[in-house]
Amino acid sequence: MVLIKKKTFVIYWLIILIPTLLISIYLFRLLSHEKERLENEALFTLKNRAVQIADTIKITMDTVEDELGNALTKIDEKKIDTILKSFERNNPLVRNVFIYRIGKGLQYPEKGIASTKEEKLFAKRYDAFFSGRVKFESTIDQIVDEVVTKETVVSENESIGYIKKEVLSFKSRSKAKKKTDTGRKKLVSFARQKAPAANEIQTANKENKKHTEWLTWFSGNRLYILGWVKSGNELIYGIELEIVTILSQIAMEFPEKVSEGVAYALTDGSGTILHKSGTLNITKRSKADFTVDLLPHLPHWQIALFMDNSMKSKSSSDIFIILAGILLSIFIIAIITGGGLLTQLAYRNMIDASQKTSFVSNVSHELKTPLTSIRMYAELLGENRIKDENKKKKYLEVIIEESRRLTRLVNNVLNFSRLERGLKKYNFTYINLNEEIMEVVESISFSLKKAGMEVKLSSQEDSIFTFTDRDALKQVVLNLIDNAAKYATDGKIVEVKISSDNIFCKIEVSDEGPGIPESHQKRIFDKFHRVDNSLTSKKQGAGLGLSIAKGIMEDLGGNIEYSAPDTGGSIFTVLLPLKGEKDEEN
Amino acid sequence: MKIAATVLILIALIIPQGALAKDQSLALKIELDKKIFYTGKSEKAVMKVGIRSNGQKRERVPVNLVILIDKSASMKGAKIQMACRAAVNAAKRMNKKDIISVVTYGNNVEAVIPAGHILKEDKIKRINRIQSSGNTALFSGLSRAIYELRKNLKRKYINRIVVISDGFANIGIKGIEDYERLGASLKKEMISVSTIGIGTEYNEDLMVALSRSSSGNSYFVEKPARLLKAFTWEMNKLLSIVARDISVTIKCGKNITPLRIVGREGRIKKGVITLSMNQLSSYQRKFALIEIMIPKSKEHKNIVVAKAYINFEDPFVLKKRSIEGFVSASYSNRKNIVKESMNYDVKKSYIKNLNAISTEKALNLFDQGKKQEAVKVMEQASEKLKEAAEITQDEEVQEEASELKKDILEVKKRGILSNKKRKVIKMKSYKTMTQQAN
Repeated sequence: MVLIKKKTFVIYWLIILIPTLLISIYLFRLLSHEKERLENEALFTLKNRAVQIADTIKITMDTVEDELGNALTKIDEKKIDTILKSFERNNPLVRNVFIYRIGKGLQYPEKGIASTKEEKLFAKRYDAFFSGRVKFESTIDQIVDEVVTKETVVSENESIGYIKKEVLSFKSRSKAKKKTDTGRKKLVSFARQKAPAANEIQTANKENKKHTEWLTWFSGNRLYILGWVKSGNELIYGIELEIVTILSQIAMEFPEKVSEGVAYALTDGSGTILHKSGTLNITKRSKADFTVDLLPHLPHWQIALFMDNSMKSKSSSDIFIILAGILLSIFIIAIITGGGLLTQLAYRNMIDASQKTSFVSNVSHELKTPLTSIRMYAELLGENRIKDENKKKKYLEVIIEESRRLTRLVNNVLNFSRLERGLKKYNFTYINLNEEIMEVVESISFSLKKAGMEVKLSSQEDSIFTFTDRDALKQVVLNLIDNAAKYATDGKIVEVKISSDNIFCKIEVSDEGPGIPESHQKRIFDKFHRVDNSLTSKKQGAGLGLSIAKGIMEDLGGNIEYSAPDTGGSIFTVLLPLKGEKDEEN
Repeated sequence: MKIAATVLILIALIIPQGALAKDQSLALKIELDKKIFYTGKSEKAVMKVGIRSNGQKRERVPVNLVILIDKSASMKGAKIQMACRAAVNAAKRMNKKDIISVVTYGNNVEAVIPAGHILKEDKIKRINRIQSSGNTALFSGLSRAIYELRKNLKRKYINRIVVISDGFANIGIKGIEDYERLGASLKKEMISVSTIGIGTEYNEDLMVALSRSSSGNSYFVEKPARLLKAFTWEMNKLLSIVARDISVTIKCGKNITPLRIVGREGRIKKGVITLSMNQLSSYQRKFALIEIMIPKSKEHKNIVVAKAYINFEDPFVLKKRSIEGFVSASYSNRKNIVKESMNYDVKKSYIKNLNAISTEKALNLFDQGKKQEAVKVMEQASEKLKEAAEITQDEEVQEEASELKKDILEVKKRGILSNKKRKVIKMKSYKTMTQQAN
């Protein structure tokens, strides 16, 4: 039966455990994937933002160049001087203007004291064009060859490939004439403002086949943008954009608030940060996690995304693994604990049921045995067939004894019931232990004598007082002596010793019987427990006596303990709190 | 003949040299460093074209002001507190028509008070809660300040950004040329940027470049406690603008050759000098100094040296106005008459500007590591100042000469210019060349 039960439990546990583990593994994988997906999504969002910023800048530059280029093509050449100067004077996007005539050279800005310091630098910057060495209508290769050969605009740090790339950007851009509805309003409005007035626009617009070419130029490691229009065979005029105005507006395209650990930056060709958004500290050694070029308008410039370790490294993965592990462990533990508790509950219920069944059987048997004796002897006496007076007396004594036994059994059951329900009431008074135990011993000594046993009572002191329930204590001692008489008849003597120390009064009930097997010693105070729980057991009982004694002693503030002496037998020690000498008035 | 010449000379001495032309808002004065020149040789002269408010009392022009405060970590303590107080004081001087904004920059930029009219108490409290932290993203801060300003960029306002900083731009754009270009671009929109540098660690070259190119003012305050005073000066100037978008065109007379413009950016072409000034307040007198060549003449005669045309916008009525004047001179072969005709005021302005140019040149040489050359430039300037002091007997010039001498001695002794001294010199030069009163 036990073996079968153990197998059942093992199977039951396997049925719970294996699916739990499988589900946990699956959940962990799901969580991992979800985490990865969220991380990728977060990263994608950040990267996307960088792309958006770059796109906005490109579109804005397109629009600015379109608008300014358009304005340039519409200028009346007869008033070119005045209009261009006005353009430069009033438009924040225009840094410098120029008028160049093929064969005659640079007309404006003029040389010498007629030009300002800025104009002198401008002329020097594009000397390759203004001196005629490089034609405005040259091919890209021709420009590159001339520039690289003469090194007029190439700084020491620049390479041929570097120049070629950004000059190529000019070529691609002159082809790209994207129209767009979007663009940063302010820059576009600058591009549109101060455009030639209506009377300054050439009348023959339909015949006007002019268009504006744009060139990005590097000088002294700085980016410049030049746009020009060629009109006829001779005249070329144009503007240089004010990069810093464009930059100050581009800066507004960056998000004002950025997540912790993230920064967006606008960098130039040398990696210098021109503008940054976000609190993340970026040094020269910092490497961008993602970049977007701003070709063709701003070659070598990039929008860079920087992230710190907390955004990208494995440390967050470790934290995730730990957290997920904790969550799943809690899940597994909860399942197992729940299963365990259910199992335990079921087991206890099973045991309880079994014990109750056994109890009912035992109680029924215990009740039936004396009743049978009482009925038998009563019937014999009732039939009036017993003539011997001694026999009659003996039968009556048996009836009385069995009735008493029956009464005790019923009382035990009733006490047990009250204890279980917490309804047992106690009447605490000061008692003299010696006197009370003496009474108990006297009440049972007769029946013990008949069983061939002797009760010996001894006390350490003449009087030992305690504050307790007299009847309850007597019942406990009575149960112990009764047990001894029941199970230790071989020992012949039952000793009752009364003693005290500073804390407790002790009543030791010891016998010289077979003792209690070690495997049962811890369970003897359990309800319904009997060492040999067979209906055919030689010793009658329902397994309640010690359980009741324990319950009563705990209610009285004491305890009952079992010990097995080396010489054999059993010792039950009743412990009561010591209350001192009885005050007769109290 | 001699009598006629004498009469002419007397007339030249008595009659005011040039026109003191007046408009209802401005007065123009053109002077030469001498009224009378030697006959028989061509001579270099200095022409001073000055404008000032004519003192007419009018209701002030509304302003569109952004106060840009550096709230980097180095501004902690008294600096940020004083900056906030200055901003609050400025806000309290605004009326219903004015627009004010407060922007801060550190690692990030924030419009603490976006552009709007009079600040209510709760907004003023926001200013007082500004805390310092982070680096110095000056360009980002300026970009945001410009953005706030442009929200209300209308001709009816005087547009100004006032930057308060104690440090270098260490995030974003750092080049002086870039800030110079930014200022020049802002000037086209009639936006000027004034800068106030606190302490001895900020980049005065950058701050001055930004102010110079946008025709703003620049201040150096060594201790935070003086920040309020500097800010008050700035506000006084801002709230008393009488003219803006000022263009000056000077047409030289026949055979008069303009040589160079002293202390300002401008253009000389075919005898015509053009230059511009952004704004003029009632506190200020602004002028331009031009070196010219007076041709030789055998005769005692009067000549018109130059005619000046000042075009400007009257911000009170948003109308373009102009004012013109001229300056004439005559010749003599008598030394004492020529000497007596000297205009020491022009001389003084000229020598002070020359000194300012020389000291700026010396600072540049110091930065390039050319200490000996720098000292040489300073010594040459010192000599010129000394000569001028003797000629003019002017106390200011004498004081400047002795200060320069002390600076030279200090440099020779220590081998370097201290941060503080460098800033003092830079500011002084700037104020001299732009006629910024204080």
